[in-house]
Amino acid sequence: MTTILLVEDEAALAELITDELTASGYNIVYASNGKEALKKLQDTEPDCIICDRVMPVMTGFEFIELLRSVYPQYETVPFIFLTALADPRDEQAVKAFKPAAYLGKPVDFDVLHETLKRVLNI
Amino acid sequence: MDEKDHINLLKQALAVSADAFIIFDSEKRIFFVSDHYRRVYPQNADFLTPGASVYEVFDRMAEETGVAVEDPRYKHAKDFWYDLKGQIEFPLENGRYLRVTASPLPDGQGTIVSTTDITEYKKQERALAAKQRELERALEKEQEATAVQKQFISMVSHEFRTPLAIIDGNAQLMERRPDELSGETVLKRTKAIRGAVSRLLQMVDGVLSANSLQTGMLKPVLQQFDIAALIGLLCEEQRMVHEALELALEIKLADDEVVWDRKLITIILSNLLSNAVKYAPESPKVNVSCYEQDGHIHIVVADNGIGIPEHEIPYIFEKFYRATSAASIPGTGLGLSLTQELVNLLGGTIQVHSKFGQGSSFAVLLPREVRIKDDNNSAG
Repeated sequence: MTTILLVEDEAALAELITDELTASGYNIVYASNGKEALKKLQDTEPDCIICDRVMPVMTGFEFIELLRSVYPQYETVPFIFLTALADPRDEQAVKAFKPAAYLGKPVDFDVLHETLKRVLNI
Repeated sequence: MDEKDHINLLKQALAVSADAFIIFDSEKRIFFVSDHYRRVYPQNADFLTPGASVYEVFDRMAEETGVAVEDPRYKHAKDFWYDLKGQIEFPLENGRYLRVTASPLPDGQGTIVSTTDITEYKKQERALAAKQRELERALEKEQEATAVQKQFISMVSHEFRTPLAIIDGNAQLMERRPDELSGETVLKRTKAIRGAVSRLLQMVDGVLSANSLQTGMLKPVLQQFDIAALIGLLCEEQRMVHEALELALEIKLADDEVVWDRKLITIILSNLLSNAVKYAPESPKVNVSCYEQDGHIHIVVADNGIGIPEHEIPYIFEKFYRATSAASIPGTGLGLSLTQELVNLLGGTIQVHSKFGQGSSFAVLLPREVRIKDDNNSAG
């Protein structure tokens, strides 16, 4: 089963994504912030990480930086940024982290599915 | 025309010039003074004669203009006259301004000193500088407004998108699997949608109120009403919305009647009450008290919420400012700024006490009878 680590501080939104992806056969591990996500990674090996861009405790950027320094083995795990920031400059800033994809909110589930298939080579 | 005629002609030309001239020889003694100069320094007219040394000329002029030796202008002028080089601008006691220029004659024959009255020029220069400062201030104000607007747009795009994503996500789920929809799921989805809609509405209301305040469209309408009853009603509303809320209410007033704007105080208190609940942990405890002290009615809303870091307290009433402790809780950063502006509009003050991690307390102080000053600027 494909495991996805979902890092999103908006519980209502996380629940929706979890509902949809679970129904499509994915295994979702949820964390409400970056710190929690790092903890979850101790006993989860995700195939993909979906991460919010703006979060409390640490931003999506800070999380990915920390993740790559603490768990170098996840360097190749595809990373999908979710964001409510509508600023194109932000998309430019995100590119430095070489995410597999950058999705704006509201998330179109069709787009999410296609993106997952593409980054997971399904 | 012989040489004498030529010289006379030149003298006349110099006499009608707007500038006054003195020509010094190589020994720095006066060789020639134009009539104009004698008019500028009438008392020394008889002294400004050929043969007088520049040092004597300077001393006499300093005396006549009344500039004391301690005056920085004295040294400035002395340096110029003793040296006979360059240019100085010199303010006189009578408000006039002179520009004095020393131009060397060829082959070291001497120096021509010309004096121009630049009072008008200086006046215009000052007016221009004032105008420029005015423009700079206007530009600064404009830039501030643009910065606020930019902040607003980025806040709106971020804060509004999240509830929109919740609405859209729920709708997508219902659309994708309509056959699997149980009554329970439909309820769950619609509840989430309605929750997101009310969050959006609250933000829109906040933005609208902030805007009408900014454009001066919000005018207090004063009326007499029972404040104890209103506070009771607003607290009851909060109890109905939040089941886990523990709300204690204590009103100690000799007289419950006040003359305020009922609508505005309702917005103020609703904001404070909903903040108290919003920024509280799982089981919010809110204490509301109302009492009279030093001629003011105090309404205090205290919570056991996340609190505000001490160094951030001075900023919490600023537009769009959100305490770092509030980062995980959705908000526009407009609520407290709006609340403070409304309290000020009623001629009151708002005070805050907060301990990070322990809770915050907001106190609104208003006179029992609010009087609104007639604002002459309100027209138009």
